[in-house]
Amino acid sequence: MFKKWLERKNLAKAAAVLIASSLLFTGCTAQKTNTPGQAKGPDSSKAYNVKMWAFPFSTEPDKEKAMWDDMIKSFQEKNPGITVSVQTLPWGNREQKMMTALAANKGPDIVYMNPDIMKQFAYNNVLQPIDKYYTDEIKNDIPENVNEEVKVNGKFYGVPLLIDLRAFVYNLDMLKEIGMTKDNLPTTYDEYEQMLKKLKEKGKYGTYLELGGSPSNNSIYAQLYSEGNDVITSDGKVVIDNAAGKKVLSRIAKWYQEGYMPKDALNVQNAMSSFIAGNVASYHVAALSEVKSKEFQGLKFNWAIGPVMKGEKGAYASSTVGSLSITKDSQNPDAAFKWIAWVTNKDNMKTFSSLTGFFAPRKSVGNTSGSLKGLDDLYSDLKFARGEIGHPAARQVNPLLTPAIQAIATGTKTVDAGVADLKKSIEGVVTTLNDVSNLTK
Amino acid sequence: MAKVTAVKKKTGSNYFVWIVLIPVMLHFMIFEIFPVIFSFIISFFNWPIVGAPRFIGLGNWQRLLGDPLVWKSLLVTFKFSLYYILPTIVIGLLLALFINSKLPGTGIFKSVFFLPSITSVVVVAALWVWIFIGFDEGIANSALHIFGIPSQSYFGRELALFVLALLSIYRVSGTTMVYYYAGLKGISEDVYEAAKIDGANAWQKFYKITLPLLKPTTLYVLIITTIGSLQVFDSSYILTRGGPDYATSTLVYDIYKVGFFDMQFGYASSIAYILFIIILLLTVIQYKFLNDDVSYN
Repeated sequence: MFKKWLERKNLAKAAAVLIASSLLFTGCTAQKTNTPGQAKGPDSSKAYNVKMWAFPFSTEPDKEKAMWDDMIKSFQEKNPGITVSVQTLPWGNREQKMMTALAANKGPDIVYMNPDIMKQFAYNNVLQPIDKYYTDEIKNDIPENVNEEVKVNGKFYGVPLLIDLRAFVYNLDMLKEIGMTKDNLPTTYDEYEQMLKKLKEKGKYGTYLELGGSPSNNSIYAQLYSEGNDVITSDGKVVIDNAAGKKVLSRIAKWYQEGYMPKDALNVQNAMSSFIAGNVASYHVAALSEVKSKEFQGLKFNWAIGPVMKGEKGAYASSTVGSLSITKDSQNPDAAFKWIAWVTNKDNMKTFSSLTGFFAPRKSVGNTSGSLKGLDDLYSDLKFARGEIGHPAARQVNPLLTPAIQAIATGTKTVDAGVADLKKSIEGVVTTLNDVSNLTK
Repeated sequence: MAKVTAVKKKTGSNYFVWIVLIPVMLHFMIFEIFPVIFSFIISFFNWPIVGAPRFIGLGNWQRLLGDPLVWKSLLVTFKFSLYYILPTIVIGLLLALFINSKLPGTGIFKSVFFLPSITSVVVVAALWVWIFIGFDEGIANSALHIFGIPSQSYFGRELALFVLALLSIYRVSGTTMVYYYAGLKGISEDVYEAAKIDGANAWQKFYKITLPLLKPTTLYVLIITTIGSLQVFDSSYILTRGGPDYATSTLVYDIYKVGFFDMQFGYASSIAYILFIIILLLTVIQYKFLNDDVSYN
């Protein structure tokens, strides 16, 4: 009977029922979303477990775990009724993990975010605004330019936990051949171009801008800001096609076409290795993940971090401000923020920065990088820090900007045609972003 | 009790088979069939994964037809298939013939040739950058210098896709070798003995006996390498991020960007369905034209 039952149409029916129920189940759960900013469920007086997703910030997992354990212990002693669990996830595919967890309403209370992801997630109502918690004590101890990095549409969505910064680093031994020393490193992009030209005449590559990497890494944003431009304004107007935007892209194209950087720079993210191998005289180095590394600190040739270069409208250094945000899934944002405030207070931030090597956003913490070479110079550059573009479409703009830069650099497109196409693509992205944002309200 | 006994009687010796089969079928339904149907349904929605989806009818499908990036990615994917399928099959067959030749040391080579298939793509990608780095000192460029050929930019617009295809060939040929090796082991020695008696030379034995008798294996390998080439993602994601200027942006990479960067899962699903239809059509065509005279005996 069982056999016959299976052989007959019942099997197909059973399959249809299974699929339909799965669809119904999933459909129902997909509709069930929380409203950001509203504390739901239990009241804050009841016991609550705050869950936080962190990532491996240092190269010493045991010490990092001990750091979190110590912070949790001292926090729980001061806050009876709130327990904390910190889960350290791998960096890879973190956006997907966050997105799928939040879609299933199973997200953590708190998650560490880089600014581009934070802005997109905040705009899509996946994060809770934290203005009411962002006290003057926090605001005043963090530089204004860093405070701006954790705002979306004028509201705070994260508390800065760390800062990484980029600036140009130079191989002084290579520069010696063209009569340059640590004291006369380029202070403007024009001077930098002169340096590249002289090195080219000596048969050397002057720079390695990772044109296939993110615009922060390859200095495009820093250059655009320095020339007084942006890609898209915070109110959604695409401005990359103005004169300053074209100037920066023409400059990058010239550096590539004149052979001031290796051809690989177009698409291979290999700047650090090329610099360490002595193949290029400079590149846009990341302060903490690269300068503090053993390879860098053990370099056999003389090197130095250069001044943050000026354009026509000022000097800016590309930065990343990592922050802690409260997700829409948090049932108790009061408790969640208490933990964020604990982690980012002066003492704990100092502990975190000393272990991980990242710069501390709080002014009161100061430079925790110790005696590592180059980091003092970079710390003093923090005042020039400016991160991703301010618009929430930053994360979607980057994958459009990269191929546009590559097309212009290789001459496949003229600067005018390249920026015109780019503008159109970015406008399309902004439309879809607004569409998604409306759906998530 | 009597009922249970009756069921046991009727299902007979297949009772155990069903116990084993049902979990597998459930797994297949939930993790294979359900996503296929579900993604088709969400292709008619603006589905941001978080928040409320909105029904937009054929909106995603219409957008797809006018999206130049989708067509560009499709072209890149077809080009990749062109670079990848034939070499993977030929190299896999040659490696299988070699390890089947009973020459001394072939046992070791069996493992050596298969090693890239089980090595992480991240490791192989790092190796690829090291080999194909554009400096004069790079391994590939040093090799070219021996023949008086100047250094090349392997990750530039012209060569990047070809270099990615080489990586995939390197990784997959070992697996293809295993399929062909199994196919070769299935050919009876008697057939070769008879050919030898008839005076056939090595080439004739290969061309007239080995190759035709390997046709079922070839059909299978052709189908899976075609599907694999159309679904290529990892090498493009790790090595070139689809660049330069979309030169290595494959369709699956495009789907990933639309889904996980733009949070447009409905639109990503409609692109995925185009890929599904293409794979289905190609597989049916391959099966129809090549399976007619395949003998599995």
